Amino acid sequence: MHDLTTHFIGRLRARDDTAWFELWETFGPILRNQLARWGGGRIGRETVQDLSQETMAALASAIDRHDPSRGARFSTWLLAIARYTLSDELDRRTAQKRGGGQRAESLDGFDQASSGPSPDAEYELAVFDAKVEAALRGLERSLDFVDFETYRMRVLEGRGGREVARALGTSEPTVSRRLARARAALQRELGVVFRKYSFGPDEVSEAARNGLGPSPNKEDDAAPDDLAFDEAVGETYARIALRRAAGVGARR
Amino acid sequence: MVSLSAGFVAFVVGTAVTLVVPVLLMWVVFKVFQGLFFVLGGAGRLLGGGARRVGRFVQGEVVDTLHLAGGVVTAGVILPLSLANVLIGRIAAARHYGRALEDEVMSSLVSLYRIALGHPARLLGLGVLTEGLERKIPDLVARAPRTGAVPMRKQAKAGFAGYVIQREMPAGGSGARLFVAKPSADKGRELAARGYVAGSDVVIKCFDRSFGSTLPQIVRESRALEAAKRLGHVLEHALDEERFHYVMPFVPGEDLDVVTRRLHAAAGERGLDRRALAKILGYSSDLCTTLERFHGEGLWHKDIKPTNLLVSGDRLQVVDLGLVTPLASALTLTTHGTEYFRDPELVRLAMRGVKVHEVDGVKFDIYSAGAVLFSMLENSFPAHGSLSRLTKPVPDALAWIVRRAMSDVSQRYGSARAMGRDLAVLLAAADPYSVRPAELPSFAGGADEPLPRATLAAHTSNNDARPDEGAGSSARTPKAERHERKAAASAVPASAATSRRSNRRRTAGAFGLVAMMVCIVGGVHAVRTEHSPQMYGRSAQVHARHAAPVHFGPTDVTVYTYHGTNQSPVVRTHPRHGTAPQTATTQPNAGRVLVYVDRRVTESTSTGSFVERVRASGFEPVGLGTAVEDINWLAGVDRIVGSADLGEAATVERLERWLALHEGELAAVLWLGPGSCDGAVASHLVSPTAHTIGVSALSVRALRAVQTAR
Repeated sequence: MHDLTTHFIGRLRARDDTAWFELWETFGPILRNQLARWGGGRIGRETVQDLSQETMAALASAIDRHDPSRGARFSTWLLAIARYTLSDELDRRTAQKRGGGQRAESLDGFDQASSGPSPDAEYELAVFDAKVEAALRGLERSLDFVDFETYRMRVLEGRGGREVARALGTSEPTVSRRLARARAALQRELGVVFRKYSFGPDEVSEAARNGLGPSPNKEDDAAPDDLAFDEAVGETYARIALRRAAGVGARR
Repeated sequence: MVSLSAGFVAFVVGTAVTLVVPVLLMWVVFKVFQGLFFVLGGAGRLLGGGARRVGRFVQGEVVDTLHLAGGVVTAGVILPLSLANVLIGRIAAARHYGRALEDEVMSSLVSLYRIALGHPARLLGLGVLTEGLERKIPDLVARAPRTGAVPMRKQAKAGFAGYVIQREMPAGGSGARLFVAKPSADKGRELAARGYVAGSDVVIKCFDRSFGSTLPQIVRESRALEAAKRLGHVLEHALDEERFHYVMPFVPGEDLDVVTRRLHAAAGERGLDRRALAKILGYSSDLCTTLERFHGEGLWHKDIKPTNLLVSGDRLQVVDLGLVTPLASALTLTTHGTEYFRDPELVRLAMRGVKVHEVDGVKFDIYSAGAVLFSMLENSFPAHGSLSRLTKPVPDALAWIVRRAMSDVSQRYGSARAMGRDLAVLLAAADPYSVRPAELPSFAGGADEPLPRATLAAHTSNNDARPDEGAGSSARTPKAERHERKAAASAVPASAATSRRSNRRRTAGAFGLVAMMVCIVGGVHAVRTEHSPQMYGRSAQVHARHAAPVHFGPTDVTVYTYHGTNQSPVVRTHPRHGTAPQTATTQPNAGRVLVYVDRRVTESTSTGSFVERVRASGFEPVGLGTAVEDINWLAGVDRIVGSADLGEAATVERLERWLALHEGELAAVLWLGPGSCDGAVASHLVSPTAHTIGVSALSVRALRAVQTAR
């Protein structure tokens, strides 16, 4: 496990509220979505909201028992806790209805890579996208506003260089320079985020496998690698926006 | 010789004919084909356009038919629920279902209208005829006075002394109960000094431990009351062992969420039109002005969201003060607020246990203002925080404002005024889509400078219609929208000129360089002497302001007004959304001057000459009548300076501060106080600038002497 992850897990174990909030901010929507899917209409929106907060509470209590060396993925770990919380809630309701107790499913079973739940591709993709989103937030915080907006307009919104230059009252070469600056910063952020929210090297290398690794060519602003990188970021952002829009639509 | 020359001529002619005839033939064939292609192309475009129109018609009919069917089914489900609740006496629930039913019926009627009239009219190219019906009627119906006063189910325990409860309003999230009441005659007179307008209703917000309010709630609410009184939001408050309540002026209207939904429902799939966009800009601008007042009083609202904002007439008002906190408070920061409208950074800071005064609360209110603007544009909350994507067609510059307001704390607008200044540029633009982010004041680095007193053009221009209106209501892609915006932009002279300049730059760079040198030398003077108000925002220089004395009337009283380095003195008139442009300068109709007659000035003292002089100088004297606006202004001034004899310097200082909060509405305050001898009046003309005061004490006799001499 990378130092960054160890440090982050350490903060979670130490009940550092800001670390918990960070985790919630990054993965809370995914957990909510996943819980709603599992609930299959049996649980309402408010309950999902409550459950996802309980999930974080469950994470807090489970963190001390967790041993990443046993091979679980970060995403699986999150999912295990979410599933545990949901099953616990459903059991509790069943018990209330029947007037008798029923033992909740054990967390330990989900905590192991060998016997844990098998997250589907959609969930894994959502976790991956959440990490990219966290990197974009980091980028926004670290970059100058105009640089970030240039990147947003050019890459996230897919607008032409000339159009962006005109909107910002500057030249295309300046837009390219700002893009290069933002791209380099985003690559650094992605590296940090993927190391922080990963338990194994396989998870860390996911960014590179999906076209979001650092570019070997730093000289040419329009190198094919960079274009592919921008395209991958743009695609991920569009996916995030669509997923979120669907969620918002469902909530209105 | 002759045969030789004839042969030569024949050779030349033959050669020429051989060469020219094919060329001519080719030219003719080319022209024929060109004409043919033109005709075919035109026919193709015609057919394509017709097909698209038919496609939109069919799509619109299908979608609206489905909407109609859905609305009817939903209404059919809601109606029995509503009736059942009436029968079992659950009036509040019945009212709730009744409102939902009303929404469904309205939505179904709109769909029905579109199916029967809207879409067919557009198909026949008569979309212009239906615009009035689609825009004005829904707006008119929405603003019609409601008669939904439902008798209060349960009176508050023991009532409120001096008030007659009219009805109970739906409770907010704080758990307090809200009552609409009418003050008795005595109470009305008592409240008049605090800005109450006789005859109007008030709202009583009551926390009662017997119906679930907790002590911390009561403490939190009461914390903001004194500040709220200063801002004119609270008329009075009272606390006893069981109950705490405060009284606010009643603002009739609907919350912004409802208004936003209606704007988008009227816009349909076409996206917001210019009129709707202008309204949104106006609301947002009002919000910035209100926040500026809060921040000016050292307050952090902390819960700006659509349901806490009320649209009354064309103005936006902040109505909930439950979380208002002093910016300099030594209390620990809490996470109170509303998700999606509260900056996540605030939560992060609160979790670290920082104190309120250690954070910049102003910026968190600005984030919320950005989120509110986002929600108005998108008809949805910004679920993605600052990374939320604007999916509806929005001017680039407006999207920029949203992002700047919601960006990281360090990159955000430094003040509500800075945000308001950016919005003012869009309000002033004839076509907001033609404004580039680079033209916004904040882009040039002037984000935190005070708002220039620029003339706001009308929120709606004569060219209200979108370029494509009347062409159907089918959904348009952002790409198509951008294309249309470009086309629209190229249709206006300014944009065309820009485009031409852009082309020329490529071909005449060298000439441009020379011209630039000449311009630099010759332009310095020109720029100093003349500048169009519409141009502000293009250079940080333009925003610099200083006070320059401008003669106020023919005599010796001097008024100071804004005077940008490069522009004529301009005064922003009272902004009314959706009204005609009101340009004002220090020429006749230069702005409003509030005439405030000190309580110490006796009725017998003549102040009319001062008023006449104000009028003669081209300003409009206000504060003399009984209009609500006049009374509000006078009450506001009286509240800050009328209670005690503060002395000249302190009074002027307070008036300056008050005027700064109303700088968009008033050019100056003419304070008429007692002079040094009986029957004399001292006039103090206070300008909006904080550091420049025009003061002149003139006796009535002296004024008359001046007038006589003239």
